[in-house]
Amino acid sequence: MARWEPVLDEVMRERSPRLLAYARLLTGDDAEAQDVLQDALVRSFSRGRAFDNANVAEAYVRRAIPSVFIDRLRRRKAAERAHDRDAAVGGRGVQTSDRDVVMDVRAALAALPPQERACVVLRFYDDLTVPQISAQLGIAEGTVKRYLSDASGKLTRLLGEDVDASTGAAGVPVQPAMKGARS
Amino acid sequence: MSALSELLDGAVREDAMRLGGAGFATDRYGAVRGRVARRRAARSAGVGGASVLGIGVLAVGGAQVPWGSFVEGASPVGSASVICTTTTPDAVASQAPAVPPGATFVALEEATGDVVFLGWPLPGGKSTVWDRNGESLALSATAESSIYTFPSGARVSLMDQFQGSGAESFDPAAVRITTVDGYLKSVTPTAAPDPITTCVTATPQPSESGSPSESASPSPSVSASPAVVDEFGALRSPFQCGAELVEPEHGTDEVAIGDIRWVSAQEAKDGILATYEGAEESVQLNVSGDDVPIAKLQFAPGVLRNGTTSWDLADPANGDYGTISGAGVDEDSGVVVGAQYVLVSGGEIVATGLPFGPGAQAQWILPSDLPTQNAGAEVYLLSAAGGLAACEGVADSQLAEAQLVAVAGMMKKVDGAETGPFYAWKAVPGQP
Repeated sequence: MARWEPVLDEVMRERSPRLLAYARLLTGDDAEAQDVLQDALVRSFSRGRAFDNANVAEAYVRRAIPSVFIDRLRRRKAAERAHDRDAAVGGRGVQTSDRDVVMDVRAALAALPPQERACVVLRFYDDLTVPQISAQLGIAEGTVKRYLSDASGKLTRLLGEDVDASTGAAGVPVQPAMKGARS
Repeated sequence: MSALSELLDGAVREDAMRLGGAGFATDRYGAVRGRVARRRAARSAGVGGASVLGIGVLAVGGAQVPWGSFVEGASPVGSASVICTTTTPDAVASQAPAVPPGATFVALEEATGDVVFLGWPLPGGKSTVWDRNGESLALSATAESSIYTFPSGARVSLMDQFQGSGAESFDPAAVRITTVDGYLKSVTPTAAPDPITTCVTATPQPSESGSPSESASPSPSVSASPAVVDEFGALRSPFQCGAELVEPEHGTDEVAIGDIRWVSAQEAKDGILATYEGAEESVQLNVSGDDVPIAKLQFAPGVLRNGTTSWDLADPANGDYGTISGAGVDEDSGVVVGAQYVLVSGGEIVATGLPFGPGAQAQWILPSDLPTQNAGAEVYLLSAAGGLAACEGVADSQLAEAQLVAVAGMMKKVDGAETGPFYAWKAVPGQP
């Protein structure tokens, strides 16, 4: 048995629940979360690294998950889909009835376009800075800021003012979008 | 007021409990393990997973290893009197299907193991795809290519006129394309994966001055002996992790590495782009650091002929690159050349070059002096961090002390007879 196999086995058996849950934040879908985690595992373990233990391997896999998610989006010509979904969310987010329904943060996240969702998760869950998000997802810092700004406004409308979606680390411009602003 | 971060953390905790992990591990472990094993086996051969094959093109998904720049210094390779290579095969054996006549490439779907053969049965003809039983499969056509779609939805594009022929996977992570020969090698039943060590006696003439040309030349009994070169099979080459390069320099009349010089990064970049005048946009270079080594490859006079030589960073004899025919050199005479930079620590290769892939390239090979009798090539390392991948199990301390070495290989076909691979390598001298 190759030396990476026991570590892979341990990660998949013992660490996959939290990794799957993390992937689900991004995908909004259980089945797709499994696909993303599978690709992240393959990517992390295929690159000749020697993982000393499951903790190190889990960290690599976790870091690979957003990249895999974004790569999959790109391969699926995410631009068109995101545009469509963005437009749908833009019209839906201002409706009070939907706001009542989408109190669950997972549902609110799922209503965001995938790129915005990824930025929100990396910013608010992983506590990464804008430059770090930019580097991890391979998109420009300005684009990250725009995604975060847009997402912040939508989340505020979906989750209500009781949820602070604009508070981040100092220097990260995440402000709720004003009415009439781009969404 | 709840912070979004707290809500997200709570959602992850809830989902982790709800989703569990036993089912995922049970259902997916086999698929993950198989894909990892195949990719690591390919990487150990110095190739990675191929997504595009054609003349002079082998595009793969690449990885960047975030260690610092290499360290120049005295060559760690000693003056021992043998050349040894050690390999640990990691391939998974299975039953090889019959190959339809005319098949050139194989498309392998990673998740399912489904295999189809790709080919162009007639010169200049249309693409054809066969299943394992040799039955032709339906293709959809576009203006420039034909498309084969696996039952899973994964797709492969076949270019009817791609400098002779070519195939590309829409999703290299899902469908890997390799040559028929490379595929057959990968499915040939293998022995138990015990390490294989092969040693050949040589008479060393170690360099004292570090001069690349004379004092470090190996004895004729080593450098010119086909038997020695033949000992380096597809998985035992200077392109491979774990191979031991006991000599500081090795070369033959077939292929050798001549001068290695350092130029500024800007000069190197300008030099490469100048050869793509009018098409600079198609060249993406990953350049870091102040200076770039350029190694000159030398071949027997006249052996390279423009238009029938295939260039790559990969080992010309590796499983995916395959034979000369598999590389696209299908005339009676032709040459396949591969070259790259590796890192050597204690005489053992501890990092190999990343092959051509999408995005900016950190290693580059550029033909020179074509089509003259003195035609050769130059190999650039534009970024150590971006162009080299550490081998499995190699400690950072080993990488920090490793010596940069240029390696090259070639296979040739003369009047239909293939010979090689022939290998050469040479330690890169420190910057002046």
